[in-house]
Amino acid sequence: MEILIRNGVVYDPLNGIEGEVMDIAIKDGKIVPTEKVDPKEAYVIDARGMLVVPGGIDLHTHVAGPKVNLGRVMRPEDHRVSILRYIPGRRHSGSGKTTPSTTVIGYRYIRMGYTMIIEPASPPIKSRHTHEELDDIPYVDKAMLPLFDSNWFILKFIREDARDKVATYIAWLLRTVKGYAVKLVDPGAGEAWGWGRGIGISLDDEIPGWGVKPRDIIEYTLDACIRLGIPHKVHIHCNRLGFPGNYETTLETIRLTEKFPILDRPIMHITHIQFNAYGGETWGNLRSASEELAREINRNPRVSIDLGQVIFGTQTTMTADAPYEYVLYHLTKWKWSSTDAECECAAGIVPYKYRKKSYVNTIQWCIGLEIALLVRDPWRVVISTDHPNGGPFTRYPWIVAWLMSKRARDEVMKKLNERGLRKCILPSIDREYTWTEFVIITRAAPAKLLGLEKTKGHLGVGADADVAIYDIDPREVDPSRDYEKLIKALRRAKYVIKGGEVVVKDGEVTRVIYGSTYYINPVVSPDLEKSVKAEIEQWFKRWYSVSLSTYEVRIEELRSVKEVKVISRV
Amino acid sequence: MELILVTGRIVEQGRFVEDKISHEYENSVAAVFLDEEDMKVLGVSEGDRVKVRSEFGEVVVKVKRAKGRSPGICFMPLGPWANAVVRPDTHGSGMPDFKGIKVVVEKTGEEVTPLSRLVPKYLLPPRTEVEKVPGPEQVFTDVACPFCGCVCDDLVVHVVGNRVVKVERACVLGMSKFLNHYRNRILKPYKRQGDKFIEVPYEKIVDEVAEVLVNSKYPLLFGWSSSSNEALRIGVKLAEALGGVIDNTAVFCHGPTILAEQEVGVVTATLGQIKNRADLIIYWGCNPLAAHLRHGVRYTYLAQGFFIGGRKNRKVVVVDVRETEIAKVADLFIKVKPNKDLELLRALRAVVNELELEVPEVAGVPVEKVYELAELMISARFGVLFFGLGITMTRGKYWNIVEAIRLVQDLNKWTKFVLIPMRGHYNVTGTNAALCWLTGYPYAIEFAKGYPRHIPGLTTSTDILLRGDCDAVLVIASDPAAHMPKRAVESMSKVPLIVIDPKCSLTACMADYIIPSAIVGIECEGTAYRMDHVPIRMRKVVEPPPGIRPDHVILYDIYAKVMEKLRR
Amino acid sequence: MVVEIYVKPRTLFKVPVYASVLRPDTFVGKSPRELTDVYVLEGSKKVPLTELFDIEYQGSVPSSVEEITLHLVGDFSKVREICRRMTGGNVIIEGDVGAFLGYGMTGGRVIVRGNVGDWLGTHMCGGFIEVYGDVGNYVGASLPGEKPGKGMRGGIIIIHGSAGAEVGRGMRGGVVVVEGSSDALPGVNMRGGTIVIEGDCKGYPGLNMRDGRIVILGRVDDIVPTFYIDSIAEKVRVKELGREYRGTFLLLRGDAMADISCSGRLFISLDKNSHLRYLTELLGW
Repeated sequence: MEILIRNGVVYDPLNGIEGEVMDIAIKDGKIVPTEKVDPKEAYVIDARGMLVVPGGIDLHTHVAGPKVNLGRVMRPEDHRVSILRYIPGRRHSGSGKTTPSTTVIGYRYIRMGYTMIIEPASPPIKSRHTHEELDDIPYVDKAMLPLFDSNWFILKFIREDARDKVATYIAWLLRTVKGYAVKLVDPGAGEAWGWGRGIGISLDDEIPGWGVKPRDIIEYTLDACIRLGIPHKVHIHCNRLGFPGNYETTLETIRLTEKFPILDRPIMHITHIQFNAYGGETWGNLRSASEELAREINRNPRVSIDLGQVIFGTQTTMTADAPYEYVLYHLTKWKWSSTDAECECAAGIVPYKYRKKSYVNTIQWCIGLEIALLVRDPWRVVISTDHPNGGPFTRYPWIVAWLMSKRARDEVMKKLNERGLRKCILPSIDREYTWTEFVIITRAAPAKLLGLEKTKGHLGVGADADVAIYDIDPREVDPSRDYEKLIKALRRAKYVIKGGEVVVKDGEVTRVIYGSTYYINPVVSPDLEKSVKAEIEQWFKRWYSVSLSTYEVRIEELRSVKEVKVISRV
Repeated sequence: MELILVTGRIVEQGRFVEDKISHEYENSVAAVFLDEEDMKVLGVSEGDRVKVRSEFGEVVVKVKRAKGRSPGICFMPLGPWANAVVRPDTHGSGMPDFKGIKVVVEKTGEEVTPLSRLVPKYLLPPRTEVEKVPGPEQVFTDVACPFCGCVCDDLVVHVVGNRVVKVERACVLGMSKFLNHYRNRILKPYKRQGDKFIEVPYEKIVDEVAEVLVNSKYPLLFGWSSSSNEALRIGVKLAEALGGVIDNTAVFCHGPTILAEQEVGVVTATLGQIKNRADLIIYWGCNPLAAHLRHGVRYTYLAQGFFIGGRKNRKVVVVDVRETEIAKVADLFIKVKPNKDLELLRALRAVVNELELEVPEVAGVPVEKVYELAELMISARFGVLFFGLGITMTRGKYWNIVEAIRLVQDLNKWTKFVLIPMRGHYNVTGTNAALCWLTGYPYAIEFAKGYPRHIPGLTTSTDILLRGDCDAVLVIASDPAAHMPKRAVESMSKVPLIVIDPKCSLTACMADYIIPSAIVGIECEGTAYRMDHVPIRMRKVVEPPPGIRPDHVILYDIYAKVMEKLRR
Repeated sequence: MVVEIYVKPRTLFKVPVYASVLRPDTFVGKSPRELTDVYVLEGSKKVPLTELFDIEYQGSVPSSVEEITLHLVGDFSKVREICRRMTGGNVIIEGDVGAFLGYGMTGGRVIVRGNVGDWLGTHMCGGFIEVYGDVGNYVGASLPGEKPGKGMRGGIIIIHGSAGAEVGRGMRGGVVVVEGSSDALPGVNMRGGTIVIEGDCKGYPGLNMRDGRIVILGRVDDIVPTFYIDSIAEKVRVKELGREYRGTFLLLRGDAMADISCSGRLFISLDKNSHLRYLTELLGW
């Protein structure tokens, strides 16, 4: 199919384009020079007065896998309040507000103009499940991050100080379960939770039975990822998430990167940093520590972040931080799920309501925005709500509005807890994100942080034809004043093109298509590979309850796969 | 003599479940196990025939002596004979009363009730063995077993040509499925016409089946648990297009567990955690030595784990209404009165939460034993509660499981504790998982309004059949004629019935249309989830018989035809 | 000025019919001819209301729900969601009715001369339902997975026959009276309101109850162990009904497992429950 998008107001920060009126031409699923497309044969979209940007990329959203599904099972009431009707030939049905079913996820993302999502926490032993769900999410491209934080092989090789083996194992696991990067969640807590412990574990607490500290896990995996040369390296949910005063642990975690050189891209991505930016000692005197963290992030180019912005209302928290979910269960006293994955990690799920009048929730809401506004480099910032922990991803347009309009922030703050607001600096921040910055933190930055900037996150020739067209003219609308218009436009893209096909027209989907699953294949030296594989086979039989042959997710099992090969120095 | 009837699985029933028409199946399943003292009072000995009567029906079966003591309780294996007398009422939970039913047992001279009287419209379709095809000898290692929820994936399967000739490491149940894979097969599509089945070419039967489904207003698509996730994912699309109901066998197995998870969540772990860490193993209302034979040796009390290993380092506790095989292996056996598990679970919770118990006994268990068990649980380093149909099927239904989950949640204040349901079919867990991510609900999903809805008692297939709400039924990869109460089975006989199955099941003997399929895990690949949600790839070790397709291919053809007809 | 509207099924339904439009609110301001654009679901097929039902008006076009008396005559046993979110008016049903009768009802009166299916009066906020027959499970209940207290919160349901399991599950207010017997678990997850069972109860009343009252005049097979005997009561008054039940009642408080303050009250007739007599000993009797 040939498409010509005419006269749109284009923002393409990766190619330095900031609000130029220009044409975009698409052929065979790729962006091509406009000469290659015949306007008489092509499908022409009149994008006059409309914002044209690359498709959005959500770097961190819990949408597929065993804990996400368990979240669905335990929240039937969430499924009754939000449904999607079956339209034969056009869209499948579904249900769910904070724990949506697969059709609903793909449908809501594509209508918002997002074309790629990353499931950030999959237990390797159940990765086949994660992939089955990702395969059933329509429209978007996807990838998943396997969990490494309490992995017995990692712990063993760290204890033996065998850095090459750590790197080789990471490469092997990423390739075997078709993952994209290393995910660490509250390193060490998952293993401690195997004995019912691990609440509030900090960087220097020894993990029971292993003689290894969380600090070691982070340091060794950072080192391994740098040597493997994989683009997105360590994606970390810091220790002590959710505890007052935890910002100090976050600072220490950031400082762990200082012994490594500054490379062409960050080496550590701190996810949903809002939950790890708390000052104070107790819930009673909680305060925002966003300034301390922003200062550190501004100083240290090795670190990137995503927000974990809180949205008021009843949400469903689900993380691999099983001990913390146990704490949350005792606060909410209603439903709680916890699952352990042998030799690997754990997870917990608890429904939770964020209230506007709550002191703590008010501070949480402010922190997410504060950090985004205080960090100066938008290329290291990505919007997220840690869906569904902080809120549903469908609220991203509101977050954009809060970042681009002080007035929008003020409107919300009028209804919040006053004592809480006094512990935050958000009321005094005037900065408003520009159109370019908004496009960076939702598209260009995540593409670059994932190492996919050749084909994703931009509209230059050679990029995948993933384009979002919004019915709002950046030259006419002042987002600071008319943020309501901004939200309205960003909620329902006028057109969305995915892989060179028009899938959303006038805000409604036209047909069902499926994207591809991306995974990383780091190639290491064959000798190392062989010796580590032999060790894996030996220990796997003793530790695990399944056979090694079922552990591998084969390419034939997935709908459509894109391999990203990386030749490493290991 | 008045007794309380409990139904459940036994090894023999599992061994012959793939050929329910056989003498072996009848000999194993058309039976009632009586306590030896009760037998003396009744004046019967092993092999005599008795009539078992309840307010819901009566049936004649053979007497067998129960291996342990169970005075006042009689046990019948799950199957069509037991289902003639169980209470069909689900109390709004979807799960009929399969246990704890008052029955009268008396000696009789009548013959054992034949299947033709238990299965309405009973007509035997042409069934045969797959012809042997010579070929090279092959050995497959790390094969996953397609029988029970253990999904042991360490099997070694020897194949010669198109026959499995030897299986290593499987239990007798798995071995039986592999070694008999070529027996009791239906090898052509059939349609019932009058008093016989006539052969119909595949394309034609797909067309007729699609026509039946399109013309129905509220079809039920049932089963799924003995097939792959790939098949289920197409089944959902089909149910959605038809505006019908899709449900799997959990409805009469661990559906109540799922309903309990909806209320309070669940605290669980994968089986490797148990193997490596658990020092206290509780089997409540389940008998792994009848239905999950390698459970102990692979995952629990006999397994060698990383932090702990061997039988003597682990404690085993069994709670049941009668002394089962696993009870004999236990360090502590607690006999609970039928239909009173809820009280015992609640009493344990009270003790764990330091509340007083003001009674001398709970559910027939002396209060000292309650304190003893609570103490064992609190002082364990890593405890696990495995539970089964003993508490999902009895009074309280899913509230029993809510109590069990809350007990485990409470125990986490003291120590590490998890619970794992003993799922029956090898892929009941996978099909529940897939149903949930595709629709938002794990089972009993109705699409009549154009979007998924789930209401226990209303959209559960047992209730739909008991009320006679559906006007067409498609059964795949399961045998509800053998496992649903008689009244539900009769309801299935009143509407067009389509069966997709590799074997001549009892439901096939009732069917109007039969489409034979390949056996997942032996003749075709697929994904199945173990009882602890670990996804395992089922293998293909022999070619399917000529013309026999896998489930997902058949379903896809039906779906395509249905969409074609709906577009017109 | 009363308008009587008669609705009769044209056939015997084989599959469930979803007819939430069968409530007085639908007919306000509509003449019989204007009913052609009102739809119901027969199984999964959308059909006009008038295709499945004969509808006859006696009187003019009603201008408010209060003027309407809706008569449903015939076998409605497969018809679901009748009187869903009804706000007022009268409904008289001569025949059996299916599930979800009076779902989310806020006002009006419904009389049924027949049996009713499951989920009667779910999420009811107000109004009055009287059934001369038996009802199924989940009367005045909350839906699966909901927080306790999301069930019935106002209104009155009187059942002259017997009821199924989980009467008043998750109830917060209102009154349910079952003159016959009830299945297990009445008042499970209860947070308020009153349930009276004049016949026998299959067991475990008030499991996880936090507040509210359950009165059982017949035999209760088993009780939840975390209820504690408080005293003997001689009468229980249900002022919404103007009824007073006299007798010798064991008054138990609970459920201690749900809330240690034990605000829930369980009244059990001592005469019919000699197997619970041991509780009086704990009082020092």
